[in-house]
Amino acid sequence: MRPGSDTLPDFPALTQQVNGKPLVYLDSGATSQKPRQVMAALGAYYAHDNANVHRGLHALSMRATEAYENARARLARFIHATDPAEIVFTRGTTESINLVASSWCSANLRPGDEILLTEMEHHSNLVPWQLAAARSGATIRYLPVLGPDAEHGLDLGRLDEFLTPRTRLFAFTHISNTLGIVNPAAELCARARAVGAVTLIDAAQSIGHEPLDVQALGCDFLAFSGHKMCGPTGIGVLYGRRQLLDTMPPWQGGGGMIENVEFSHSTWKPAPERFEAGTPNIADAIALATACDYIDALGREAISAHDHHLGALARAALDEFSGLRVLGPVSGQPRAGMVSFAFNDIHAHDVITVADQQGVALRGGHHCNMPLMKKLGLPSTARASFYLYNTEQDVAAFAASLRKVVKFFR
Amino acid sequence: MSEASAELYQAVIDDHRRRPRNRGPLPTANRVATRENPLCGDVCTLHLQLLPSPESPEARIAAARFTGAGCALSQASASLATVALAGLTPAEARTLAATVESLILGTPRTGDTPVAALADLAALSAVRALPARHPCALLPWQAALAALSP
Repeated sequence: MRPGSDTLPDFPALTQQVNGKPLVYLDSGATSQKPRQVMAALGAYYAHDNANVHRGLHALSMRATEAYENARARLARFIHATDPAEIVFTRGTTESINLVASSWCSANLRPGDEILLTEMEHHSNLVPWQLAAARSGATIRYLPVLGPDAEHGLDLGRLDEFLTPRTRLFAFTHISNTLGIVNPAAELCARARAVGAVTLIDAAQSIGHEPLDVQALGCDFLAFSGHKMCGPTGIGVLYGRRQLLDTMPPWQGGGGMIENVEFSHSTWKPAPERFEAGTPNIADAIALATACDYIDALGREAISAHDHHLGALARAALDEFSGLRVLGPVSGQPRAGMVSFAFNDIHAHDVITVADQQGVALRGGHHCNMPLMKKLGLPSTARASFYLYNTEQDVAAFAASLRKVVKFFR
Repeated sequence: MSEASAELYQAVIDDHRRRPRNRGPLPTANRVATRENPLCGDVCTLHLQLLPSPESPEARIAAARFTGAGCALSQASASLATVALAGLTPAEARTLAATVESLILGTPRTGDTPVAALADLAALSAVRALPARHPCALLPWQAALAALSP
């Protein structure tokens, strides 16, 4: 099976009509659709194995525990972590980043220290650091983006100016959800390591889309969500190098994360349990492992090539429109499977409403990237994002919907 | 254009979008308020001139204009608002704004102006089916209420 129309029988949500037209779902950057296999894994867990994990001695609890820990091991293999203990299950990318911003920062940041971010970060990789900086007295700096439409990506020529011995942590996105730019993550991690800074990669847009190997990337932390990679909502992962996780203080207290509790004090389990207080999201973790299987059966090289091809086609399709600004890589440069654009005279909300009437699902707004949009001088853009189940016909429907938009508003 | 968007951007709204009424500043305004929606960048400023004065018990909206930028719905709604508000007392204007709000949200209340009396404003009811667009159409009316608040 190859990415594209072969996969459509697996995605029941995609075979429906919206506003009287066949659905063309181009909002996978926000969340992916789910294959039957993932839904079946959820149903099977609840139908056969449902029990609480870790502390039960009965058969179902042992089965649930085994399935949950197998899921952890599967996720470790999915990103080439050396040890399942480096996989902390969270609610998603946002919670993973907040965990580091809360736990690691509380133990490691002092006044005068610097956190380095980039100007293309999603709010989820920006606001948690603002909170951490406010608590610790650390300062945040932002590596700028280059070009009027950010088409040249990060200003790597100035990296040395921003990445200094004062930098304690460098957090950046692997793929920008607004620009479709793919950052040179391995190089950024190596440069950070050279000044002794810890690195965190926001992999929300790359997970399940690109081959991803934390050893090759050389990152200390990596955060992602299950729901953008064919998995359920409410489950995600924080990968952390074991030496780091084991030195970090807990961030939430409760059952499951303690070794010993007395009235006066408690002691903690090692990672990953230390960071999983309370009953974890067992069912969704197990179904996320099934999503890993689904993606790897297709192959991430194949998915990446497919996504990039559709992104480039969509970018090229925009050339027929006048008075249109396209963000991110220019034609011919590598582009992830998405394209953000803004008509000079038609607001993104109007574009999306009219496209939706054609059955074409786009996203619009500031894409949780308000400071970047301000820098680009745009209140909002519309975005089409592609995934393994999209086809060239979807790109054609996208272009046709924009022709309707232009015809109506001009 | 499908029927649904034809309905949403129906003739009245499209007309006000293409030929906005009362767009531009009002130097004689004595009540001005701005509302914005940072989520989408829509901004709307309502400029009202109340005569003989805003404080007078006899006060009426003698002139209403709008400035700002945004999507077709927010701009058309602002244009419609300036036409509908002219000539009203502040109390009547507040009642009308509340009526338009319930028209858009689909939550009719007793005391609302009858829909039949809303004339062109009834076109805004097409926004009801799209909750994500409610803030667009409501923005000018919120600016009007803010301008009229004592």
